[in-house]
Amino acid sequence: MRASDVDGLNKKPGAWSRRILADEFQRLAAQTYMIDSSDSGRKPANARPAAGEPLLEEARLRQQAIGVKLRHLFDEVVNEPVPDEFLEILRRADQRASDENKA
Amino acid sequence: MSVSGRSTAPKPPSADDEGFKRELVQLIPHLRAFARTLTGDPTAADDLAQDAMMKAWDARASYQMGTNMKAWTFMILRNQFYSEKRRSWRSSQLDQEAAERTLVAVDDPEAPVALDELRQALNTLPEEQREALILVGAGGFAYEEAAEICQCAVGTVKSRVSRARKALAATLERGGYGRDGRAAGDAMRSILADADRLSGARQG
Repeated sequence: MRASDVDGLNKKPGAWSRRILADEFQRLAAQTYMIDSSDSGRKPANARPAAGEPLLEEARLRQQAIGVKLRHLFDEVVNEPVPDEFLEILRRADQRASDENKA
Repeated sequence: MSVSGRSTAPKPPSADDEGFKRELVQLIPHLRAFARTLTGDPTAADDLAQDAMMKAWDARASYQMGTNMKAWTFMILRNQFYSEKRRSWRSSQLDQEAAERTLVAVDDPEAPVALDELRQALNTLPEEQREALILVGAGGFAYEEAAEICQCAVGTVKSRVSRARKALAATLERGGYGRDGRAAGDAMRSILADADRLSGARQG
């Protein structure tokens, strides 16, 4: 999808909900982030909202989107290179430990 | 290194030290991420993560190899955070400068808008809800593990996560985190758009 499409959709209320078909989105999200194991234990698979409950469906979709972003937020830091300081501190502690063991 | 006044309890000479260290090193990125969500500030977060790493190292004799080291170190970090916090930590949490520094850490030029919104919305949550949601929703912990880390009942974690999710959605929906010049609902739309974009990008 191009950026201009996104803008267009952002300008129309409700456009996103219509565009992102729930199941399609869920499939992509599940594929990307193995979503959302935390809820699946609580609700049986058949507890999904029926087609006649668009509000619930939309709420579920939103929760999934938030879940994806939350992981993204966290993973972003996880994927940063670890500052040398960390390894240096650990190296010194290790050195200290082996000195003590020798003593 | 001098053998000066620093007299920690004598540790048994341990062949496990190497293995422990290797595991600990692998956990550093996760400790940093958890610390960042707790403090909301990259510099304070790295201080916290380093302290936690050293605490874990010093306590390695009490760790049983093969058990859940990630949960164990997260618990250490969390305890450290709350004990330090009694003194000063999070005073800078909501200050704008810290928020902006966190923002700069984003390296994807297309992602910042939605991430920033989520970050700010997270900051509006009560602390115990935020940490529960992060552990379960981003850290990959089961409710049981999160309960151990937070030293509370499993049911408590479940209800905190559930309340956090609802509050977050509501906040993003109405833009209630006080961002200027944005219509209500924009935050949620950009979250949806961005999540969609990410999914699409990973797929190809």
